[in-house]
Amino acid sequence: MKVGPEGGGVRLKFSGPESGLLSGLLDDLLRDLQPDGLDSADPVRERLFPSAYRAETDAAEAVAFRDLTEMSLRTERIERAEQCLAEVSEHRSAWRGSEVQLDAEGAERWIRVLNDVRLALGTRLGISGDDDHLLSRSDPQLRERARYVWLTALQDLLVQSLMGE
Amino acid sequence: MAGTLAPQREAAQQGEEFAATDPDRPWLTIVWDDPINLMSYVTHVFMQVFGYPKPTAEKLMLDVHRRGKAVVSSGPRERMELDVTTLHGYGLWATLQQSD
Repeated sequence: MKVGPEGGGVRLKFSGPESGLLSGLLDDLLRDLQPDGLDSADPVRERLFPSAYRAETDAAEAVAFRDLTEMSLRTERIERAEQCLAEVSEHRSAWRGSEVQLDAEGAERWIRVLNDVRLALGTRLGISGDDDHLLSRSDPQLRERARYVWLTALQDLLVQSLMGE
Repeated sequence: MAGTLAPQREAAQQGEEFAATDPDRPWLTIVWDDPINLMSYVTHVFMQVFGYPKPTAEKLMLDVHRRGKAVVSSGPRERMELDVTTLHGYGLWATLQQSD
């Protein structure tokens, strides 16, 4: 994986296995984002579409507000993820991987989609503390955790490159 | 909130008391700490959404990280509902409540 500034924007370079992995993760996200994709009590759904009101006394407000906003948030998220999936799939080859050239707006869209993927994956993994980025051979969820760590690195590099660091 | 490959989290404070509704008191948008969102990303979001300069955005991000939450904007309820929705679109854990 390479993230580098290019012509006022950012260029992402993925190896063949990386671009395959990313496409799969974006597919998973798009499945989660469908209206019937996740149960209403699923923690991933709660994390992607959290309540706007915190206290239990505001339960009625929270439900009304969610009804008003969830559908448009869902649509925006799906559109962004579909666009990223199309970009990573374009000109992809199994051994040469893929390259995505982004302007500032495209890079902004990518960091948001990567964040959505991390929120879904991290919630499923139960990411909760300081050492959750450490990988252990005996971890039954090693593969998912390694993916999460990889996504974290990719997102962080992209954010830093957008901030001009 | 997670640092680069070194996520750190401090427990969010629970059990906030809600005051009775008074139309004169402003509403607040609060962002809560969570273990997944990166510190760099949260700073970036505060700059994008509120147009805060980087030092202000960083200070707010650190407040969220260290204290478990921070007030990121205040004003009429409708504006705060918009801010909360925008932040949810970025994946931040935001809520609104009336100030004490």
